[in-house]
Amino acid sequence: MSILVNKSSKILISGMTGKEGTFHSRKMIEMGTNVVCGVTPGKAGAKHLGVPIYDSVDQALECHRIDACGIFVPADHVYRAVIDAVESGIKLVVVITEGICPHVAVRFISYARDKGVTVLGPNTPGILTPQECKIGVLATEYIKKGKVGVISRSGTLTVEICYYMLQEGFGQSTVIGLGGDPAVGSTFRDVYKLFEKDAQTQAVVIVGEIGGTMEEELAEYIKKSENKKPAVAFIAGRNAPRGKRLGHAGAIIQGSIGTTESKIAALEDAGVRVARVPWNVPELIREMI
Amino acid sequence: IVFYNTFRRGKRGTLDPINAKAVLIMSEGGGVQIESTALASPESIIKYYIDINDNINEEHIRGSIDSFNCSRNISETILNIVVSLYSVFTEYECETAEINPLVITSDGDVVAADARISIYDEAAIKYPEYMKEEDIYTDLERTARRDGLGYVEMDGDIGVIGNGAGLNMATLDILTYFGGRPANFLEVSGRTYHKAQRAVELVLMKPGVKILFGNFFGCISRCDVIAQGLACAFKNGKINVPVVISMRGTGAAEGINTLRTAGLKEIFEDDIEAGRRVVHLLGEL
Repeated sequence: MSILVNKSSKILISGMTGKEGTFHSRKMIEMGTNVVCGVTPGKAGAKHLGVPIYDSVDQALECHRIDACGIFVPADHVYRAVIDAVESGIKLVVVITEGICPHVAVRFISYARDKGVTVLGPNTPGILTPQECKIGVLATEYIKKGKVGVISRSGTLTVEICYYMLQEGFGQSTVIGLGGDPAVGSTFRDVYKLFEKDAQTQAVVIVGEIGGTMEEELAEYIKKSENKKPAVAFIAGRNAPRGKRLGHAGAIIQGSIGTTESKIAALEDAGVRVARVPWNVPELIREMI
Repeated sequence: IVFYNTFRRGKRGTLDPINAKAVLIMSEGGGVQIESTALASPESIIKYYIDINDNINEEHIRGSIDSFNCSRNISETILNIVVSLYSVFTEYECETAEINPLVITSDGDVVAADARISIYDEAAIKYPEYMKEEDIYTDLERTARRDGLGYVEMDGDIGVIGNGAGLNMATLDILTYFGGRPANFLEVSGRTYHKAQRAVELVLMKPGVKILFGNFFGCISRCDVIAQGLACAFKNGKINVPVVISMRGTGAAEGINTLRTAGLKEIFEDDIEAGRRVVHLLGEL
């Protein structure tokens, strides 16, 4: 079944005609995603990759029903793009763009949450339901239809773990990138709850990293949940030096907050198996199912 | 002789990403132990969640400040300080804005004995006059930042380069698993995967680096482009240590070809075996 998006989801791409937007929209369409239109101010009336372009989300919604929106516009324009999408009634907004100040992110995340809109990102590789729908940049060659949901704060590491999973015969129901920033629209807990309700998903893989308390928040939820599904985690950054940001804006240990030790302890206490190296993830899935 | 009142107060505003709100923390006992105080006696910490799209709620905060039992004048002064600090926090897009301790002297003066703010990188470029990097970054890290590369210096002798922050962190884990000690973290990806050549030069600038390990899994960042950068670095004769590369994913086949042509021998399509090889080779040096 998958979560959030499937083959009938109608997708709008904001920033579709830019370099990144074009490159990735093409790949999304090639995979079978139902991209119905794009938005680039000033280019209304044009056709791009076979679909119509509009000046604004509102204009697009006069002609199309839209289930979700992918945002590829440059960082300075992201705030406006998200607000426009939320105001026009789109229920899922995926912000691929990185380099957005967390203050700005918190503003649009807060606003979207108040309106009941799900935001993924910013700085996310996106979402992928294999063979059905992709919004973002995840490499489809290493992600195949299966029974394990994947939720991750990273991009490339997510794909590597999916690759290890495939080698051991485990495919993915939906892969969700939360994004590498400290303030993101959806947390591990938010997405895990969706997987709990998905009949196709038998287990969930959590790819976490140093920084913040999202993994601890998930562990607390799993302990109390009546519908929990088996979960396996890998937390990157155990050997990271303290106090330094490692790549992702959100990957930093500050004082005692955000260490891998704290996350691993919380997750194990909740019954989640934690792999010490990424290639052990499939073995643990096998033990849990 | 001046007597200082024995009360010390700390105030701190931070962003709470899980709730997407700003957090105001106030406590009657301030000082550098505030984090452990928060763990040991959480009731002594007053915590407010503020919706960053709204204004700060002065009435609620006034109520909390009243619990400190100061005179009305001093309480009003403290309230004004909290509100002003919040404006600084939002206007400058701070990660944290802290006054700790806020001291009330026996003469009834309110003095910020120490204050600090930390501004997010994305906003900090607007305030070049406040960019103060010497305290936080090493020389190499500052050089890397100028080149737009995310480099973090560490203690070991294995130079590391790879694409993706998460994968890079996992690379540090792989090396440590086999008993190696990384010299650094450095990712080339997203906006920087064209900078592989410069990245290699940077990693090798650190004294004591005896071997270089590159771990690449091409997704958006293409292996063929990265390989070209690496090959340039080899051809320019800048590399005088053994090199081991693992390369998979988008563009890997072309990338591996490029590396072979440039004379590289230790090429893997598996980062576990590559990591093992790195530590083994280091042992033989």
